[in-house]
Amino acid sequence: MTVMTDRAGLALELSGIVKKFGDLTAVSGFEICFEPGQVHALLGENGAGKSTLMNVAAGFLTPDLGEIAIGGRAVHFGSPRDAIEAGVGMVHQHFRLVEQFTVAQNLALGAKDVGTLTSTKALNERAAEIGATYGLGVDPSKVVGSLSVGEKQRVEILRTLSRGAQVLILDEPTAVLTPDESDQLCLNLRAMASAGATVVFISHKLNEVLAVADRVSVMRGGLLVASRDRSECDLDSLARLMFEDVTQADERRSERSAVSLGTEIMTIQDLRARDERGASALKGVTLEVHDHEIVGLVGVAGNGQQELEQIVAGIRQADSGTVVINGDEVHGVQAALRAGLGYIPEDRRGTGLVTAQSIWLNSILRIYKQGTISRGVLIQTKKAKKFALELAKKVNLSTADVATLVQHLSGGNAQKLLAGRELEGERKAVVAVNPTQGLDVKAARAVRDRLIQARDEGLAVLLISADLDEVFAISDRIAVIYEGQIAGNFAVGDADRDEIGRLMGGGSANGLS
Amino acid sequence: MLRSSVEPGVVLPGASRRSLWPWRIEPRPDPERIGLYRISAVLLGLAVSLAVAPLFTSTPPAEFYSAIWLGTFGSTLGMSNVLTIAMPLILAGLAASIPYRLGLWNVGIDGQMLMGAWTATAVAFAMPQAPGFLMIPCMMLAGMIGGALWIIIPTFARIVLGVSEVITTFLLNFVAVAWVAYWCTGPWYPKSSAGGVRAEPLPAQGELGKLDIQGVVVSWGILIAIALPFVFWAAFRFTRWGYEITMIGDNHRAGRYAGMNVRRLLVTSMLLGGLLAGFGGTIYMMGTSGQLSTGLTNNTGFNGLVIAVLAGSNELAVLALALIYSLLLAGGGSLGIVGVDSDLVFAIIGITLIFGSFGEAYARLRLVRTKSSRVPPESTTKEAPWTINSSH
Repeated sequence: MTVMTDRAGLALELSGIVKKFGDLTAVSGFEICFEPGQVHALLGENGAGKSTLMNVAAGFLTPDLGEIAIGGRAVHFGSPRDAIEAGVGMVHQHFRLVEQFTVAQNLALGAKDVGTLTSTKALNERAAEIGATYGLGVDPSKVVGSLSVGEKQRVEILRTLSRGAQVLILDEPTAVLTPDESDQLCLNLRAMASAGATVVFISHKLNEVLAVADRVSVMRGGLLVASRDRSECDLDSLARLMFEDVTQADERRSERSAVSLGTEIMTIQDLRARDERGASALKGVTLEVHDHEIVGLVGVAGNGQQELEQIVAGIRQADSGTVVINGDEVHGVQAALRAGLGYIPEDRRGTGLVTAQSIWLNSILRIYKQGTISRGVLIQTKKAKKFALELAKKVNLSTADVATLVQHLSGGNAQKLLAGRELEGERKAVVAVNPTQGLDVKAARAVRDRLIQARDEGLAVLLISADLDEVFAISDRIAVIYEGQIAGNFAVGDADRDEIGRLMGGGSANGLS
Repeated sequence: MLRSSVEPGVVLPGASRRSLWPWRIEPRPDPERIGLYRISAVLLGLAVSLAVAPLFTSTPPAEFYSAIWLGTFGSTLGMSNVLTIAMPLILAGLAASIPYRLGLWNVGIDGQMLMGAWTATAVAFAMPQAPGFLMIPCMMLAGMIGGALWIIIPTFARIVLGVSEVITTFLLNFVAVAWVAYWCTGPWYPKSSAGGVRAEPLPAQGELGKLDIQGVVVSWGILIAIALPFVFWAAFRFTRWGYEITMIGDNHRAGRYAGMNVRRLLVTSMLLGGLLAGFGGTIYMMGTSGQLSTGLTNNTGFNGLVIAVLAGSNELAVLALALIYSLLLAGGGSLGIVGVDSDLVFAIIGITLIFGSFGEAYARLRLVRTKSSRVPPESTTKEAPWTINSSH
């Protein structure tokens, strides 16, 4: 029985692959080649398009445009089965194994060289042989459910290889592994490459990429920004490639037009609060945002950002501490609105907008109680529609028909509507949470520009974002939140990415107590 | 509007595009004509079921249709019947429709109708000498309060403790029937029993007067029943309360974000449901039956729930569907005259409603042919906005 096929040494070439999801272009067309005998790392942040690209290569997704070539021959994949027949196999983070079956039975699933009636002994022998061929030892008679994650991954890799994969794609394979298991995996991948396989290693971890790869390609915003041999890479250069904005935008665009920095517009004083489970989420947060200032608040998700934004916006109550906006201590949504606070929440379609309703109904969502729109218990629909029409014009919405349902707007237009609603009018301050999440590059830029414009008009902007680049690109000050406390607060010129990263992870800052 | 947790038409990764079924279901880009599709579907269902129904009877089709005609538009008695049935049904539809706008299910309308009627009866018996102009408003008010009280426990159990209102409202129906049965067989046992579990008839001045429109005789409660859908239709469009309910829908987060008191809205919509149901039971009793009985509602509540779901958050559609429903019930009732089991009408109603619910889906979704999975040949790498820059 031969497990190894004679197709050793297949190169995978991807040309001009374009893949869109709705209005988001996940991969926007470039050439990349994965050579046999190499571990080729595909590096990039979450959402850079790495996984999408490789899912296309392995037949899990159909590209909108572009060509795939295996060993120089153009192929079209209608399914992962087509891909594996052509020699391309992918191992996902979530394994596709039958937990109740043994290793040998899992390896036999879908294998062409296994008959309908094959003895357990024969299956075990076959599995042992496969393991020996690829140098990955697993006990064939063990039930998969009883294996460790690392062992399961090995079975998954063996299954992919035994079905004839010469190009092995691994999607963030170390994310689920212990450090020891990761080291072992890296050794195995190196051995496979030495044996002539093409290994594609998707990751966002710089260190392991440098440890395992022969060649490194960096993706960013659906584009390929660099492809280099390992010898030409170091940690700093890769980090720069990974995080810098693709289009030179980002020499900082945030030079302040007016420099009157003096008045504190938003003052958060010693805020304490608990989360839904009663655990302490904010442990005395103090933060000021001045007029003409964008303060970027960064942190790993779940360190109190959500509680903070909700308290400031008046949706949640603090246990102690105060929020002062434009001189008024505010409690509750209406008070915050009266004080001039706009609020762009993270979940624009679930919270910020009611997608099943029209643009005009949505455009008055936060001001329907105000005298301009309502009179007594009545809503003045004519005034509301007029207001909506003006808003749509001001923010340059794709449609002027305010009866259009919000669910028919693209993500970028929905965010324009939301941001416009929260920024137009008598505003003094705004809280924006991940305002560009899920938007394409152009729409994201428009939203950032709008925030900068608001800052230049004198608003105090609190930008809570998981996107470090965004924060660096448009903030005037950067604060780090860790476990419900402000771990650091820098003018952007003094902020250092490494230091911020350390603080986000709970480390101490250099030169700060 | 039926809410589905799974977005239709989603193709999961790994699903082969070369399936034998080259069609895909996706949301309509232009759901403006949703009401049109819905009504056409109901009318189509009505036509189909009426066309097929005589085949299942031994009655000649001509007699079959003439019986239905006479039981509805064909006679003043028929028309009176239709409107009499419609009166509580419209209110039951509203009683289900308003909580349903917020994603709450009022499955206890029959119970609330009974309890409203019971409370009204208690008030009438407590003031037997009072003149009609005093007794009638007191009874109506009592009916509303009784219905609203009957939904209070499910409402707070749902909002404070998260107990499903479907279970609690539903089970309280049986409690209400038992409660009314106790009063009909005990304290209010009629002096002259006419069969069934009925209470002593109401004092004469507590009954609603009849309208006589060229021979079509119906309690003037019908005027209230027909006016109320318009009142709510306007309230949902032009008041702050209506705006809040419309925007929250079943998305409560948006409501909190806008500073609305979501709990209060949930409570008021549920209580309003109970209140309307109680009122419906009361005016039906005052205008038609003249006495409390366990069989007073005759499943009007469940029929109202079906109407509310089909009408999809539109009170005028509730009115229209309740009238169509009443036509069928009245027409079906008259089938007995020609020797057809009047239960056949439930088959007709069932088919009509199934068409109606498919019409609802048809209004939201469409079937499109899936494109070939083949990559178009004209795609070239020249279009690529970025290529490898290995020197960098």
